[in-house]
Amino acid sequence: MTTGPKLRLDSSLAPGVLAVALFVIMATIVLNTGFSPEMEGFEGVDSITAEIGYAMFDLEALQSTEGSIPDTEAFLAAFLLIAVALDAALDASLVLAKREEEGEPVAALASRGTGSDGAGSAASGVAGSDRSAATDGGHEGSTVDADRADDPGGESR
Amino acid sequence: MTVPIEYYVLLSMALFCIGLFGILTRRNALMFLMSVELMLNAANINLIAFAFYHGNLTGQVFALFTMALAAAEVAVGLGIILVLYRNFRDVDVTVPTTMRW
Repeated sequence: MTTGPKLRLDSSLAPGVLAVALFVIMATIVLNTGFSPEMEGFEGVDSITAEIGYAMFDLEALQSTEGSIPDTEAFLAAFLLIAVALDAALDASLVLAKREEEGEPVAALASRGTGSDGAGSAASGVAGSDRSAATDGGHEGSTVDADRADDPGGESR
Repeated sequence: MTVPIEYYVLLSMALFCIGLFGILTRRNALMFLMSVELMLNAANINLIAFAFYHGNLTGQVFALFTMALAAAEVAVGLGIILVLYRNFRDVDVTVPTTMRW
């Protein structure tokens, strides 16, 4: 029995044809556009990264020095807007991750397990004895793994 | 000797079409998110390639902002997928139908 990739022709045929047709149309347009063969590039520029920084923070005095790239727009307002948008996205993801149990909001990062989880951890603690707990807390990962590799019995994960 | 601009544009178009195909065919919400990222990165390739073509840094700076916007979008998208899984025990985007027209 093979598990290799198969061509699904039932439901994804029409979107596939659509995507390929769109690519062919756009490629035809691009290949018929008269781009100049030479890229202008950034010849004689000291540091592109520094120039990006100057443009991002409106440092026009530094932009006009020797070896700089002229005509770069100032992006300080866009930078601040993106900062606000990232902050809003962080808040939104926290709001979305917050769950409610019987009308009570539970914090997104709460570590209080449910009843079944507690029972499971208690059972594994009994099965693995207190040796695993000591190695989990004190040693590095490699030594713990070596211990477990040597140990034929113990907990099964 | 540099690569001509047409090849960059063709690469970005191929990425865009792969992302579009993924959005049209996939039902897993995580695959949706990955397809949107492909389309955003196609736009980034265009911005950076044309910045180099014109010898102007505006496109490169704008690509940085696009990446930040993609990060914000992924944060919200993963939160939505989390809620989707919590409510429906599934990340199939065709299961929740109550907010459809």
